[in-house]
Amino acid sequence: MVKRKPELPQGTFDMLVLKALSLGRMHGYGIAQRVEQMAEDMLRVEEGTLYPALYRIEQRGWIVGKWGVSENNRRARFYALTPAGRKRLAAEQAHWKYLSLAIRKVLEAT
Amino acid sequence: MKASIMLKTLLARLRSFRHANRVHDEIAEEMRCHIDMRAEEYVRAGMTPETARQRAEERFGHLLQTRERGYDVRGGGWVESFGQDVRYGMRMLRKAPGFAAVAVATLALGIGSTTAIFSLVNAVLLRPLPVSHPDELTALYSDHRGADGVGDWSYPQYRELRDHSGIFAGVAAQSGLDLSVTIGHRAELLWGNIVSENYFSVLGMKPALGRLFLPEDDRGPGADPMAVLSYDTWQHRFTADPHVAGRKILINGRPFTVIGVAPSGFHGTRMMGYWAEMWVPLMTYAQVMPDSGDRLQQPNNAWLLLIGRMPPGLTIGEAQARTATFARRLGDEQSGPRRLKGAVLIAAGTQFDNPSWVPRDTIVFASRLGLGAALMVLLIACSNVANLLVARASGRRKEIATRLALGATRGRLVRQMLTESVILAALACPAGLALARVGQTLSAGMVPPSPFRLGFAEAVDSNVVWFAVAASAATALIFGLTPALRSTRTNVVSELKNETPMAPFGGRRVDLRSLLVVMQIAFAAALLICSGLFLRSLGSARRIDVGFQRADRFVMSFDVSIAGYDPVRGDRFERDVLRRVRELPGVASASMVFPLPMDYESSSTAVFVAGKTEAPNRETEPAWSSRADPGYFATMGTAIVAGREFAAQDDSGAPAVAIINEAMARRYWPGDDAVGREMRVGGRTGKVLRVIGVARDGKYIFLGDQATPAMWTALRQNYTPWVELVVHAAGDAAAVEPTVRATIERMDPNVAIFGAQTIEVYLKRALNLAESEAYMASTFGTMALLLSLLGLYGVISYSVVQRTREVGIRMALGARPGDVLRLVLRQACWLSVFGVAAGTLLGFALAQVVGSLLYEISAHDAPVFMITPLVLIAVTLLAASVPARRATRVDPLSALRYE
Repeated sequence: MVKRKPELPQGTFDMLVLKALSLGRMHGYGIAQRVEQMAEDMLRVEEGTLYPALYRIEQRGWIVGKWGVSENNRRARFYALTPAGRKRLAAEQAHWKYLSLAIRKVLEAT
Repeated sequence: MKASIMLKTLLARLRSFRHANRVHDEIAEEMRCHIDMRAEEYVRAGMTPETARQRAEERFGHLLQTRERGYDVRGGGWVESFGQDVRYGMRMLRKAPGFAAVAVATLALGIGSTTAIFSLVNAVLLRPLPVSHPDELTALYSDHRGADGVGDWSYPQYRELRDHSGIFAGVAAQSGLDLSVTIGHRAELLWGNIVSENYFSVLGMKPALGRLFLPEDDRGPGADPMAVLSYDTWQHRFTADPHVAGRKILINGRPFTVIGVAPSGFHGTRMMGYWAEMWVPLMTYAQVMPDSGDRLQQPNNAWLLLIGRMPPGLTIGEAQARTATFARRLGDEQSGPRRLKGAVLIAAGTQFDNPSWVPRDTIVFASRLGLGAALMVLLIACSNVANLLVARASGRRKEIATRLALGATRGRLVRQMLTESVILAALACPAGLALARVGQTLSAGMVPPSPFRLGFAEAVDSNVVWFAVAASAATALIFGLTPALRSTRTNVVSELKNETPMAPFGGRRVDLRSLLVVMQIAFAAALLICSGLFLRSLGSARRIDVGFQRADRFVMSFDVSIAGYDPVRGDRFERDVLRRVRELPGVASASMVFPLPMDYESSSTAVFVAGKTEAPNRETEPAWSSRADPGYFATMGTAIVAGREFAAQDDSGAPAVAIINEAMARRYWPGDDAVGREMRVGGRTGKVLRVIGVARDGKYIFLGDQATPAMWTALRQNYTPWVELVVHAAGDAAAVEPTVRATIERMDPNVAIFGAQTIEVYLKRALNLAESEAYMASTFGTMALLLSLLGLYGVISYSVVQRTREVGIRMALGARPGDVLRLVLRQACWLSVFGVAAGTLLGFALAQVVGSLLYEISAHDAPVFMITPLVLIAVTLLAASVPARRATRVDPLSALRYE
């Protein structure tokens, strides 16, 4: 999924995609760019897993893909969050915040 | 996942199924677009367009693999991929037509035999009578003091049960009888049922035409004689006349009106009995049952089978208890030693056969046995096809590895291979059903020729079709899953590098596959030995001297009592028939007899010979007996070895005479002349018979009988209304038969002629057992042989494919094709020899069991035990030589190329 140094825990990549799309509709390439920018290049998105992940998330109904025209006048498939996707993102974010806080507390306990 | 999402997914997949190529194109375009964008970014960063494009593609990675996986997720749902798999599977099977044909044939054999047996079980045990709510029906049997088993009821008992017991919603009664029915100008014998007027209402049946009997039709003896036809009778004897209701016919010479036709497929409620062709109401008993007295008044004359319909809510147990109590009360009012002591109720979903004659447990046991054997055949077929598939999959290793490397998931490939199995099973299913149908026709052909229709009417109904479909589906999983799982569990890297593990020929490891094949060959050998024995036995049975000649002779029967003749008129009629038939051109001689040897009917007479038959606890001995007219022995070609045969002088009023056979003469007057001796019938004080001749021994009940005592009395001194007319034709028997029949019909069209057949055909029934045995054993033996050959073929193919590289190395080192052939055949030879040896031992044991069924050959018949194994070994090697030859065509270069 997302390679290079710290490997992402299973299932978190979907959350990152949803987060990236919460800023507005975007095509696959843009999503990869956005995730990498938001991570300040601490992550790298592998295309080999990006698209299967996008299709999977689409199948679940959290995003929808539609063909449109990119900023450079290129035909591209744009993805947008659905209301269900927005709900999902909120739930995952809350879940993740709780979990990471808990893990930090454990690790930093003296 | 929510239902709406599932629905959306399904719809999306269905859409993508319709636009499979569009989904492919979209994915390709989307990814191309991604690479383009990346390349543009690199150009902006200062690269040349060429380098940028190259770097972008490198960064993207395996385009094809990503596409494939994307497709798997997005478009490659099960609906679409199933369509794709079917197309792909069909293409693969078309590429290997030999494999496909062998696999489909094997499966069809397995599915067909299982389905054939199931259709029999279905007809006997599962398919309910074609009446309304058959589950509410029960058969009622009387239980009498001192009787063996349970039986029928008298009419007064029936009346009590129907009208005064208050247990049943309705009770119907029936009995079987033969009817002489005149349709148009000529009488024919029909096998019918006399039934209570409420019979069809209790069964809840609707007529196919006209109406059926109603309870209101019970208006006392003799009123309104009417009849209901079976559907077959209507079709064949009344040419499906749409206005048949209301037609007048004569039954036993009395006028009857046809009122309707029973629904098709209804042949009465008995299964182990003849198919009823016509129904007449109980109140016509005096017209249709001559000389029967007043059956309605006789309290002890049990002649009716009763069928009860249970009211809702009553369990069979309660009904049983209440009926038994009621019957016991009826018995208390009876006189004599054989009084009713109870009743037995049998819930009858399918049949109303007396459980004393046809125990249900036996039928269930036989059904289980048959189904078990058939399922074993099916499993063997499955394992053979699985072997073939594994062998094939080994040949497809590289294809599979390539597809795995390109990103197809293992599940996807397993699904693909299972789809191929499903296609094979789907092709085999109709073929199996067709085979089952053939099996039914053949088994119907095994019912011996008889004057009435017998059999279970196995049919391919929905039960049978569902069974075949279920068997095929299960089969596809059983034979498909293992090879699919095995062949996809490959190491991609080593496979593509061609590092197949090497297993040399002749490895001593006993694998399951070889063991299975050895067992198959053993079973086939044992069965073929049995069928060899039965075939030889059939040959001897056909040559058995039955004691009379077969050629140019025929027989026909009639019963003048149902045509309304009393004994005086009947006797005169029979004499007239014989006189006129003898005068016909083409008739060399003719006579009358009842019964013929080896008939359905057989009678026995208790013989008393002073000083010979007496023993401490008896005074007579039984002898097979018949009655015959003058010229009978000459007509049948049976030699009279002493004395004379019946002649005109042995008439009623003349001294009572008898002809005995050699066995009887030897028994009572050994070494002495039997002619002129006296014996008595029935006992010490019985009627005296004087022996006037001794006939050569023959067979009287079964073909395999040893010489047993037999005797004939003079028919004219011992009248019977039912006779068999035997004719020896001067030329072709079949040409003379119609003129004989026409002569009798002209004398009285109301006398129904039945059972007309040549003696050749007549004897078929006697040969039926021998023929059926030979036939069954040959069928099963051939099937077992076919399956074991296919099994051996599969195993050898598999090992040849697995050892391609070994063969390559050997050939590269100088082995010639002949050496390779020998190498492979040696393996087949071991399997074959082991199997045949085990099978011969098994056959030896089986022969002991079936030995008593064989006619005039030993159970250790040398030719069978010597020839069968040799032929089997030859045939199995022949089957193995096909894949063995393939091994010799291995090209050493291509086999070793990647080393």
